[in-house]
Amino acid sequence: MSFVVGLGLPGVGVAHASAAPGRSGGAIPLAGLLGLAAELDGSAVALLVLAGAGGAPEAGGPDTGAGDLDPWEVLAHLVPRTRRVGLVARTPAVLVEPFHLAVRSATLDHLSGGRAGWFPEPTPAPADVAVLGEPGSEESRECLAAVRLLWDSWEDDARVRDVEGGRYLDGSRLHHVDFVGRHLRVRGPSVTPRPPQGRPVVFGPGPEADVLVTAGVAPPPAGAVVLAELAVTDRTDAEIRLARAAGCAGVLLQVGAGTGWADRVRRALAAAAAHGTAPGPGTLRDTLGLARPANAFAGAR
Amino acid sequence: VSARTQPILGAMYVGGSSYCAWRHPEAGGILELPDFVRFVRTAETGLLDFLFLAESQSLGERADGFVDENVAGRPDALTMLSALASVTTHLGLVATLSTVYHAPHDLARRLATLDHLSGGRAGWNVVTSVWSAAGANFTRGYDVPAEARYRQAAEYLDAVTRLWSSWTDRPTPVEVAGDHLRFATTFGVPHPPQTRPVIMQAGVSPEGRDFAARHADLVFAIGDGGPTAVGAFRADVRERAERAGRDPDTVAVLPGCWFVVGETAAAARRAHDHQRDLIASPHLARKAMEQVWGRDLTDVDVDGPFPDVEPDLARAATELGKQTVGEKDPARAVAQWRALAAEHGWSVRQVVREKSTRFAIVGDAEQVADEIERWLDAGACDGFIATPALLPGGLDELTALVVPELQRRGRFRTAYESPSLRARLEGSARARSR
Repeated sequence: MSFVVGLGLPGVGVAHASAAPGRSGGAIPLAGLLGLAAELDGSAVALLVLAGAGGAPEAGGPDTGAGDLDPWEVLAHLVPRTRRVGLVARTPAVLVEPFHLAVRSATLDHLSGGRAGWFPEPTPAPADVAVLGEPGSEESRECLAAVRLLWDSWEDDARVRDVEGGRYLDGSRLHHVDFVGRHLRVRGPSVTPRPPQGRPVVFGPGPEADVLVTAGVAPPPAGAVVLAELAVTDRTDAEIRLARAAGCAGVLLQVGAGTGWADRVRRALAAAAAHGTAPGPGTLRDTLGLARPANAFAGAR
Repeated sequence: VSARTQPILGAMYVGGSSYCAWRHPEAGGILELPDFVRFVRTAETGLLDFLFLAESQSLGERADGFVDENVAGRPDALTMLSALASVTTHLGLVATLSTVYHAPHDLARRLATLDHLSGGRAGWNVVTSVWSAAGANFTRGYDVPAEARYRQAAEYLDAVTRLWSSWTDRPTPVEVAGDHLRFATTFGVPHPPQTRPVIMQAGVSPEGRDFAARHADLVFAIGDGGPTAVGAFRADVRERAERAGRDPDTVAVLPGCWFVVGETAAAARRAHDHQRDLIASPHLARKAMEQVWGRDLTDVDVDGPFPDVEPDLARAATELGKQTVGEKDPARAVAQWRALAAEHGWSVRQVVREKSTRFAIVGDAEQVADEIERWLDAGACDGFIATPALLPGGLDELTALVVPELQRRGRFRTAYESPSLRARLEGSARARSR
């Protein structure tokens, strides 16, 4: 049976001699990540989960990066440098409007041929950069619901490109989503067509996610696709065996920031080679054994 | 007249406009990465200065449904440009971003990220937004009164610039307390390689011209008026820049131009005619006339004699007001259409074919190079933004035929001077003023 090994990276920053206090958990330098891209893609790592809180940065150091680059853009930058690895952004759900999130994530999915995922953090964005007022988990759930509707707001075949009739779009296959929650509202449709995966894969700790991410190894609920989130330590091999025995679909190995990150990436790559199934040429959903979701608006015509 | 010897040349990849020959057999998409890669590789082979992408935050919609005759369904500009930064080394990467629909620290962070990813090639076309159909797509609504939009934009640009400049050896907290924006934050990205990504702007009103004169490195202009009108616009922007205490040579006016180039002049004219025919489909012609006339024209034969139908001017006014380019007064627009039809004996479609295509330079390489020289030497502009209607192949002849001709004449670079867009623009401003 296949087993998924994901690599979790903290924020990506740039080489900078900084000694500023921060809170985003530290960063690895951009140059280090780019050096890793080709190797990563030839490895058994199935997906890369890149965090970026959007807040003030953690201290930089001799071999670490300072700052917190936008993860959607960094992942898009990796698209031409990789072929198979899944590209997942881990961001606070309430950092930007759902409309922007839907368009950015859909774009990453189009560019990468269906390799995009989103890990909305239920934890709040730093208060001074949160756009949508008081953050909280209810708001995160609303945001996810709105984003999913926006992904569906174009039916798969909305771009008809009817040369004879002069119609590029079939307007009946575009839909207002008219989402109105307690915190968020958005009319739609999106400006970007439905992503190749239908909906990019959503990761998270709660039942609304497509892939459940648990802290440490826990027995998976029936029918759930579970990744056990583990820090890269001396015990990683043993923990991966436990996760496999417990019925997890895979693990998400967190490299952590700070000195020695490159060494921990090596160890994660070795663990992937020992335990993981290399991703195939399909979408991230294919890699994870997830079906392509039906469109919420199809048949609404 | 201060004239530049070598043009700045940008290229636009259209993302949602009537101005696209998507019905052409060689047309690609407006979202697919391989099409964009082909386009930027061509642009970089031709040593062009930058790629330019527009944005929209809503789909076009009419009372009878979504606009369906034009291309739509674009990528997020900064996400696309971040991918393209991996396959280019010198091409500037300019995104249109509204000061109304993006939170300032998010926009600052994303542009700074692109600048780091590209090694100093990011640019921002600063647009204000007044038409508020897009407002319904955002929880916050983001309504800025029309009369305040340039004051809001100036405050916004200042706030973003302060965030970009807030790192030295460590970040300094930034507090913004203006009439339109209030926030305090510590910016998360060390200062961008260009410190301030290149600023572009496209204002036409006096307030817009003042904004450009104070803040912009590049001004995107409409070319339709020809070298005299664009030259007057450029002189005005330069004068305003000087009054604002800037060296006017650091503000470059770039009209959009549809370059249609052929091996021969006749081939170029044929390609231009063919693409114009494709753009003015019968369906598009009917919809364009319905917009100007303000009424349903389902029964009109767009290929027959020009119909004698009265417009509903009040209804047309609300539709035309949404246009960014073109005649906004429906009575004048109707009169122009009727005059064209009467003068040439044209059908609706023939009128639309004329009205719906914009400023173009059409010819063989020598003719197009002559025309570029004529504009530059008259001080009418500092270069052009190529706006090909055929994507992704519409830059091929410009870079393969016209660029070498300009190079032979000493009127275009033969290698990139600097990988940084800002350094290249500043270098060319200095070279000109010598």
